[in-house]
Amino acid sequence: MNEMTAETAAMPTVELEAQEAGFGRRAQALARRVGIDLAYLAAVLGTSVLAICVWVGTLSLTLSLIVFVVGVGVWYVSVYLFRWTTWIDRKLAGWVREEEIVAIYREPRDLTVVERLRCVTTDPQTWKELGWLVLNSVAGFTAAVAGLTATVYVLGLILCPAWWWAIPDPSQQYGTLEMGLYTVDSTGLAFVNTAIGLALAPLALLLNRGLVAAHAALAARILGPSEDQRLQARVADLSSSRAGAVEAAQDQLERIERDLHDGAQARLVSLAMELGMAEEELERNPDAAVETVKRARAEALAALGELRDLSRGLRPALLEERGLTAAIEALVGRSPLPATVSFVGAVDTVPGAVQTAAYFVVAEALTNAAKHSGAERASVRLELAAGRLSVRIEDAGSGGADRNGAGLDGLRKRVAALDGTFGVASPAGGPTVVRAEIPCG
Amino acid sequence: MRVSICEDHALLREGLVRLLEAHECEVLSASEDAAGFLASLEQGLPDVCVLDVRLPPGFSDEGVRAALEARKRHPGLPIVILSQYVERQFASELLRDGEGGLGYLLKDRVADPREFVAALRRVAAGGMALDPEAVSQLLGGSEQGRLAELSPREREVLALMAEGRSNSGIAGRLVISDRAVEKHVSNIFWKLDLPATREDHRRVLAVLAWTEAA
Repeated sequence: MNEMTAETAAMPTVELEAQEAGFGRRAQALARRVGIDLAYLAAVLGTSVLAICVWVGTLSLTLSLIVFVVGVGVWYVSVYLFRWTTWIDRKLAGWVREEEIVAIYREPRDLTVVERLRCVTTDPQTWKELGWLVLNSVAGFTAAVAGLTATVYVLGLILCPAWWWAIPDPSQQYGTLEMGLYTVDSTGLAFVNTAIGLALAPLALLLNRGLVAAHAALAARILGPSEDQRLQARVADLSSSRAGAVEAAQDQLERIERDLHDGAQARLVSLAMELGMAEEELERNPDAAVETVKRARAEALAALGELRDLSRGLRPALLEERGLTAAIEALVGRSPLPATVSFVGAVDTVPGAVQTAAYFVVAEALTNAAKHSGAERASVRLELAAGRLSVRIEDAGSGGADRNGAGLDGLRKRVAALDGTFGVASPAGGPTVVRAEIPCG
Repeated sequence: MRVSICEDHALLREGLVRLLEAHECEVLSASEDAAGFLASLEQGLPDVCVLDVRLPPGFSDEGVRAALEARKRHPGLPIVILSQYVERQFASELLRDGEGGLGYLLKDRVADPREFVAALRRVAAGGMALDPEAVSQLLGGSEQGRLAELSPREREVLALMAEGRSNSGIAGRLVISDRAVEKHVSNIFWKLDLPATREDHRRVLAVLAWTEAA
């Protein structure tokens, strides 16, 4: 009973607090929005002036020098100026739109001067950026001036009581402010301006909002990748990951061939030899034959072991039978370096190829950590979120891992083959973090 | 018979030593790489050398190259190459100097120690020992030039010559008379246009012509 009373009594206060908190949050968000818009417009004022300097300067220099060879060099430098200038615009627009706007540039096929020039000149991104600079120098400047003027005007009206008297008027003791319909010559009338200013404020803020949104949308549209560029970049990405996959498969084949040759095959040859000798010894010296047959049996078992290791290296049996969680736990259990492991999400449901890749990322990273890092502990974390499996192995060791080592490179190719990303951060002094993200769709 | 071995795999090396000693061979040296093998030859030449094709550091064809180098330093040194696979090219590289005393055998042959040691003895005596597997691959190869003129029977005889068999051995295999074999052999020499020299040497040249054409 007592508890209930306490609850009912408490409720209105809680609601009130929630309302206040909600109002506070909304006010805060509005203030933030207004601040962002004003900052953006101020920045655009700067970038639009920069834009006109860049395009007028570079184009006139390039065109006037084009008859000399120097003009070609100026053009090349100009393209990079476009890139750096529009980098600012992309960052700004990305900031207000809360998205990342990336530029996709074509890669030259080789490093010759002619190829580089051809590449930057035929890159549609170059022309889009030049077009943007021209547009921004006019439209951006206009928008920034319009928005900022309106804001300053409204602010001026609101703050009129504070400054109207300072306007010099030779005919009167006090200053007067000519407003067209009326003239402000008293503090009372100045407060009329404040009221008008307050009424106009939302309009000014809306104007700013519209200008900023339109400008940022235009920047994103022009400076961001077109569908064409996106597809081209995707194709380039896929062909390089495909080449990586082919190479990874080739490396693996070579390794398997070497393992077979040095391992099971050599043991079977040796086994055949022992048996051949035993056959001869049976006639002459049966006691020696027993020893030889024992050796032969040991060889046969060793060959079996080598074959088992080899097939485990291809696709671990545990992974096949029990799934990723069990296989990783077994792996961590076998690791000479003590490690903690955590799983988030249904990691056992990801496709087989992803499981195998994740398994080998963990296996290789743990082996490396145990061998080179000098760490005493490692942690392994697998998380399935938003259709991507992310794998993260961290050790608090000495760092400085060789990012381009054969093992890590093999993992990179394996992960890239599945359209995933792979990265190693290993600053000197540690810690070393190996992470892979693989889409599972 | 004195033998030098060059085999990087410790297990096989020891096995070979045991096998050879069981067949009254003296193992002069057992090295694990080409450099060790070539150095061991300076201590005294064996009657026959046994080399693995793949040796450290590159594990490709170091054994073949060491064999060629050894033959350059000690012309006519009998050599048997052991290999996991038959590589036609290795066989013809080895035979190119036209001297006898060469063998190219699959490692599988050690499963029959008596036959293996017999092949070593044939090579030590200046004969040939091409692995039957190598021979059948060569038979399956494209036939061109002078080889195309050989009759099927002559081909069979040539294949057995390549394995290092004597005329009477070939006769036994094909169930024909020694006389008939001699006739086939001289037909082969004639069709391949081989110069009239020592019979042994002509046999090697005939096989060489064949491996190079294949």
